[in-house]
Amino acid sequence: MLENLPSLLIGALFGASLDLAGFGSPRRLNDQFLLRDFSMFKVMFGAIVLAASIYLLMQRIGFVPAADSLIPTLDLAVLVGGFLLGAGLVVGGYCPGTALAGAAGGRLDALLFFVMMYPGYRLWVWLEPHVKLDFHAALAPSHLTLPDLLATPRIVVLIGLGVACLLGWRLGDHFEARADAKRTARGE
Amino acid sequence: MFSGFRVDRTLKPFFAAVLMGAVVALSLLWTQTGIHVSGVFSLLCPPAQVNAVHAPDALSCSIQSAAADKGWIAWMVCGIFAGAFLTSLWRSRGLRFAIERGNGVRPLTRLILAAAGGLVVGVGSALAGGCTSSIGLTGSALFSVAAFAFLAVFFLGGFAARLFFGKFWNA
Repeated sequence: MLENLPSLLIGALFGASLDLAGFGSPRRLNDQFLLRDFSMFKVMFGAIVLAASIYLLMQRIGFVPAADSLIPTLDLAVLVGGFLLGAGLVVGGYCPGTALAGAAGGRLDALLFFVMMYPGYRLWVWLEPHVKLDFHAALAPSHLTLPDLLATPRIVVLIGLGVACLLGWRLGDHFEARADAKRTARGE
Repeated sequence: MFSGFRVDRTLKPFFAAVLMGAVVALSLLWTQTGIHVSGVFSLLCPPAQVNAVHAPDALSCSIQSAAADKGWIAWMVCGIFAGAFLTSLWRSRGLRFAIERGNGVRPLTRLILAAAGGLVVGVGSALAGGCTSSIGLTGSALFSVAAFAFLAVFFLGGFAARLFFGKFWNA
């Protein structure tokens, strides 16, 4: 119990951040794909840049060992799985974490979504041995990172990501303003 | 007065990003596991089957280890539920049950689509060996090429599905 307390606390903070970002709401999430509200893009990309910055800084001062096992390897499974997750988010309204946050906010559709993920998960675990295509053939070296791929120092990659995030943020602002103008024109 | 909130008491994107980024960094520094959600379903599958499927898994740390070592994912998932529950209680000034849906969409239609979407996402996260939190957020924070590719196809999948299912949110 006690050794799992950090995971529980980190989970609670993450759940709070999902709900406070408004990601428990499938309408808010899907407004991203309707180009009306870029919260999902902004918050995710911003969080990635900040987390990467903190992690890099802590590594610089010798605080953490690199966690290679946490770095996914590029294969067809990651690509097809990612596509299905995105498609499922629009069909069903959530991804796994946001479904939990949505259910915690009393959304019955989120609860149903989360429960139905289990048969889906089991379906693939059962199906994969019968599928001829090897989804796990690596498409790139194991645990490949952007700095390795580009042969560039991590700080430069981080700055590049930061700039990309800012540009995406501005682009999002532009689309949001356009959607607002359309709503106003319709008298909403 | 802190003006980082919108009308519905959700945080404006900048502040939400700061909070979420700090939590992801904490998960890398403190427990060194990152954030995981869909991995919890692997706890409910026969370990031999799961390990066979996820042999060179994207997130070997969470999926390949013995079930006993993965109990923390269940705790993390409970934590996510509890954390979101508490903040939504505060935001909504109480607990209200609802079926959230696009305007003009019937509750039954919404529930059928939610179930179908859940099924698709279940298959997707088993296949990818992780979800938006573990691969998308945690992996990208570690500069993983696979994680950025995952995010790209994630958005691509969303926009592709929008062509057929956007109308259920559009009204």
